[in-house]
Amino acid sequence: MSATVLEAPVGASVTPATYCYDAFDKQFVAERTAQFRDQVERRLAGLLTEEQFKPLRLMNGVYLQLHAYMLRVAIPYGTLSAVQLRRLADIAERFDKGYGHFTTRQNLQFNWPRLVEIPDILEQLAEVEMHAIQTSGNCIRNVTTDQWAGVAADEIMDPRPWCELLRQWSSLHPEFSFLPRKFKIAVTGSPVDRAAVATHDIGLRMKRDGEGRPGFEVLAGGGLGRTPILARTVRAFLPADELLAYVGAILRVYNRFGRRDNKFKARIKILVHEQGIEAFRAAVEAEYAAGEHAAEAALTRAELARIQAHFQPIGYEDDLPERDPGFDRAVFEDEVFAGWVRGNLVRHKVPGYAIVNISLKPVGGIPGDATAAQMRTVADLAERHGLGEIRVTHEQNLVLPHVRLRDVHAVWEALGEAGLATPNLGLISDIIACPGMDYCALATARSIPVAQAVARRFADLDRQRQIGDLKIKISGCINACGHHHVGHIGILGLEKKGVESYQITLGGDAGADAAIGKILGPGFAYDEITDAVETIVDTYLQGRNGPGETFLAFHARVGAAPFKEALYAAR
Amino acid sequence: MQHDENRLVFQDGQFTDDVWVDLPDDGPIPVEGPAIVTLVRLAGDDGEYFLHGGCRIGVRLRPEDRLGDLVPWMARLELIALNFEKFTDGRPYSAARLLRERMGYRGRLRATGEVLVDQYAAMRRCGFDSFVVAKGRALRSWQAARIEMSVRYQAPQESVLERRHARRAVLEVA
Ligand code: SF4
Repeated sequence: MSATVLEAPVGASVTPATYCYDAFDKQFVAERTAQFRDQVERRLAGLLTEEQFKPLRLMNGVYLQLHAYMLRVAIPYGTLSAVQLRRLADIAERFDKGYGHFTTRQNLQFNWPRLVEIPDILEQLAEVEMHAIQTSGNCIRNVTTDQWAGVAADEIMDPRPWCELLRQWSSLHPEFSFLPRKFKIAVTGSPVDRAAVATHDIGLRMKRDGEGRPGFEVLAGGGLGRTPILARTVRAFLPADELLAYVGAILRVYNRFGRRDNKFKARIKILVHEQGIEAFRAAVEAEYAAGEHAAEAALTRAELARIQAHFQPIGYEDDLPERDPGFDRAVFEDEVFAGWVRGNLVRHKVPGYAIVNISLKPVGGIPGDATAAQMRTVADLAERHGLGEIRVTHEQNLVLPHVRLRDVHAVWEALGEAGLATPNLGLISDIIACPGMDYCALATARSIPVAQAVARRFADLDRQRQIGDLKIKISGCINACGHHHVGHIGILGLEKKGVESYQITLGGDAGADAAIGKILGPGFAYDEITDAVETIVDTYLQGRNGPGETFLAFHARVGAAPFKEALYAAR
Repeated sequence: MQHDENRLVFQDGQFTDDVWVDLPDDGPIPVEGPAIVTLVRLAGDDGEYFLHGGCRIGVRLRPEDRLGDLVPWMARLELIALNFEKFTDGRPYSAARLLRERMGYRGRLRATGEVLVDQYAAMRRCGFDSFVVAKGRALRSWQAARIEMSVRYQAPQESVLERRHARRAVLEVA
């Protein structure tokens, strides 16, 4: 097996239009890996206590889980090359149990590495320009964005160059490595917010001013967890080249004044909430105004131009027609293919291309899990048919962002052979679930088995399509890693007197009209929760004004009453 | 408080014994110092003396102390000690940068409290140049390992952004 680790990629060698490390970036990751190897050795030699080692390993993405260490690998803004994905497959086989888990933060987790081997894994990652820096700990985490960045037809601008700039700027930041709590930044380049920016510590929405110059609406203070709060606007329009300095000002205010007396009140959302948005904004603006930022803005401009050059699309076939006759014919002739196309294909901004979404939610599977073989299949397909690029979505799926329409049918067939052609994108069985009791030391209930049971109950595709756009999100404890607060149907697993109890929220939304779901009523036992979800869905189906009225629209119109009636009246 | 036998000071690349004495808020003021007082004492009844007196003075700050209160004494202060109550408390990093970059402080900036070798580089980059290290395990760690990163992505030191910019400038000339 180990012989295949360095195997050359199959298929045509393509350089995807994503960021490539320069000599500085390479040296940085190499030094960081050596540093961590030294820290692990000192820990094993007893020179570091576990308490002292903990924040160091967390800064490198190493958690102590229920059964073993867990390594969380950063996938900056969810963009991967085929070479990188293939390397992740190799690591999964050599150092783990042959699979990996894609997370809601567009990262990948290995659940079974041994501590002594983690420095070796980091070296394997560094060879393909990857790392695990700041995927945990009280620091600035991996920056996330729209999984269709750069290819979505509705985008103002590709946000990834700014994400990359933020990635570099936040890497081992000397001032901001011991914040009161973790800190998450999300960026959207599209008004249709697929990055759920309002649920982040800082959310950035790309805008253009009256003269067409790029900039951001800057939001701060969003977060889920035990106190879900949506971010508020700090600056309605910030010129883009002031981004680093302004984000730095927000972080400095937070680092100095954020609460450190209580872990549960330490996120920036509590600071914004307790100070009030006006006072918080005044503090940030005062800090920003006191600094001298012209030189940094000039550097930002120059650096951004350099980074943007990496993201210039290359390799598109010019002048393809809007439609491809072969593709159209396949849709007409093959009903199963047509169903998958309807659910999983999205319009690309370049004519003749499509965005192919790959569901990691097969019925009965573990949401977000992929085997090494599946990763290799996707990597191969990306190289043969997708300009060598893959995206990871916060909904725990994968994307081939540039596939020629003419190749879509072949891609679909290959995906099907690998068990990756589940046509349920955005449907009720496309569930986000955190690891829960199966892996997580903090869990109060199981979440993966609940997702599996619900998906099995609604396995019938016709029924799923009849239900339409319905997002279920499940967390195994109040920390809300499964984003249940913003699920159309949110499920939170708690523990009541030693037994699992599942609380349901309705009406949450992670999109541009972000909303926190409202708790429906008393919780349900583990063996009742699937029935409860079905009752909610049936209530919607019976009451809606036809299929045009989505679950969210129906809920907005009628409120919680009919659901409560259906669920609790019989009790 | 007298000179502490259980700790060493790391500064200018080596370990030395500490010449500074931590003065309690109620003890007598030495004529020559060097003495480190709290902000309460500095800004209290003895403030005038500290402003004009002959002793070498330093101040030790708690994370919640307001930096602005130091302004009258800035020119007199030879040492400012920022305390890491826990090494996970990141507030002194911001305070250090504000003292160096906003308030123009050029004297010794000392890290006290839970000062660990793994945070040495970050502390130094934020402006600390004096580190109080407990003897024992922590000290052994300081001697065993000090792998520093040569690549930095942010100010205040020369960052990768600036180094790339310098290379671009070379290209323009060439
Ligand atoms: S929500 Fe709770 S159980 Fe689920 S992953 Fe997060 S901490 Fe673990």
